[in-house]
Amino acid sequence: MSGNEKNTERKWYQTQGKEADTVISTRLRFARNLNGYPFPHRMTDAQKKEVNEKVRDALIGGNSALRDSFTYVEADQLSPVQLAAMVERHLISPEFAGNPKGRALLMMKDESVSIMLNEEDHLRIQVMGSGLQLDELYDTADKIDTLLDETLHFAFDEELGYLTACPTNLGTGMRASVMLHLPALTASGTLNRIASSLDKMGATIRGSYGEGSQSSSAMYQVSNQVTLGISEKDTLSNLTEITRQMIALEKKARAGMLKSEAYQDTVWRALGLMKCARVMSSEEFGELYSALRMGVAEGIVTDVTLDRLADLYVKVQPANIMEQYGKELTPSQRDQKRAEILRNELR
Amino acid sequence: MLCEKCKKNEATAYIKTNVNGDVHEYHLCPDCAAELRNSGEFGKLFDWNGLDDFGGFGSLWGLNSGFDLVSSLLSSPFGSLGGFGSAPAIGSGKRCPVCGSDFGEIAKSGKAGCPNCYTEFRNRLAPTIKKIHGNTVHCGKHSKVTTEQSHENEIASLRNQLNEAIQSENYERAAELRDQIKAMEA
Ligand SMILES: [Zn+2]
Ligand SMILES: [Zn+2]
Repeated sequence: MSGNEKNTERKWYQTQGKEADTVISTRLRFARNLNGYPFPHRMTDAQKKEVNEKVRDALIGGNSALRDSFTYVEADQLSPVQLAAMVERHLISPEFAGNPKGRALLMMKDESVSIMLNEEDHLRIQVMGSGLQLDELYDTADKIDTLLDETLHFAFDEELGYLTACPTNLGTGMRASVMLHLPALTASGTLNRIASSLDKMGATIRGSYGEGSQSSSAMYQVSNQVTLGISEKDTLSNLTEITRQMIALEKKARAGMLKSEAYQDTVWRALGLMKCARVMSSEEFGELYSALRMGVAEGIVTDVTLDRLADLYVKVQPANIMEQYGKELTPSQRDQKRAEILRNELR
Repeated sequence: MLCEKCKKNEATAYIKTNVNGDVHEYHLCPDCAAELRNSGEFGKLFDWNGLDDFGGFGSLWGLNSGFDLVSSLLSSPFGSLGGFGSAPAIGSGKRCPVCGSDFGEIAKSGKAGCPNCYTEFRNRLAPTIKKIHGNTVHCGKHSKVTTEQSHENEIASLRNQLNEAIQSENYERAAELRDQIKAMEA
């Protein structure tokens, strides 16, 4: 996990996916558990260690086909900054980072696949990709799941499906999420009405980091709600359909917005500030980023690409800034570094 | 916090009573809680429905089922949240043989103790699962092992049917079953 290693490997978010003008990324998570062990909230340290090693050996031990694709790291070997930076890159959950003892992580070098060990469940298999690609990600997650199941024999019940610590994940144990950029729907204030209709379709929508904290950047995550009694295939096609409808609504709202001279000015000003500012807070960056991203997606600004923007977004998150500079920084120092990174990248 | 009854031991059980709308809260040590539970009087005195006021996930597990709660004197949220094996030995309720959880602990944490808890407490967990997901069973991917197991179970059940068919001299049906078994074994 050295900084150098990190920089040489191309990450999943540095490539552009389908529907990139409105869809930032897609994520799938499978909750899986081993028979014969308590769930993590009741495990001893020794049991956690056993599970960590069992899963590690199943995935990258012996003659596993994936032996060279994954790295294994124990969470308490990572610094708080490294952990926080991984949360910002959506590699691990805030819950996992907040309580690293006895937990471990298996991850693919491009960070597109990560397996959290001993979070709420023994395994949380997570696959991420840029743009809209639910079916593609499912194929990957399904293959890894099947491979691990051959050695680990996941806890399963004919009626309840995959057995999980929390009953909300029973059944497929699958949570599928699409991260959307919805600046026009946010501006027009129609998002609340959409949220309540999503509920009826078995989906939920929330701010990008789960807490609504980054809503200044107009990023939202739409996920399936129910996991029992609906197959993976139906869950995914349902979510794809919902996403398509959201995309259509956003595009319609954008069309009106783009005609306005004032909005075009907002986009150019965002680029101007990012290229020149000496101090920039997270909040300010969130707003400017949202305007610029939409400007790039709609062809107003052409000297930056969406994948470069996605990369930039990660680079200026607080913990990722500190990781790059290799030390802890105060918020005001970070605001200076953020501006510095933006100036260098957008020059 | 000290036990309110003996004022000696650490209180690990929280009990809320509701007698005709008269609400009381008690923080008791395991001994006093067990004593209370064993005194034949409590059934008349306490409305154990009050326990679902543990809030959060407690109510999720449908903890308002009256006498089921006898075995679920729950430890206080501030009591020891110790892991495997360190649960207070109160109540005579059934415990999961794999992880040692009783139903009260599951209700309180909102999480099963281990995969086997779902088998052990199936009937008592069913209402909550229904509340979350609706009245439904799993459809979708199956774990390979279980698929193989259920495949074998199915073949075994066909064999039983085959024996019955032969015994009752229903040869037409027996031939059908034999073909089915052959196809499944292939
Ligand atoms: Zn006492
Ligand atoms: Zn159990």
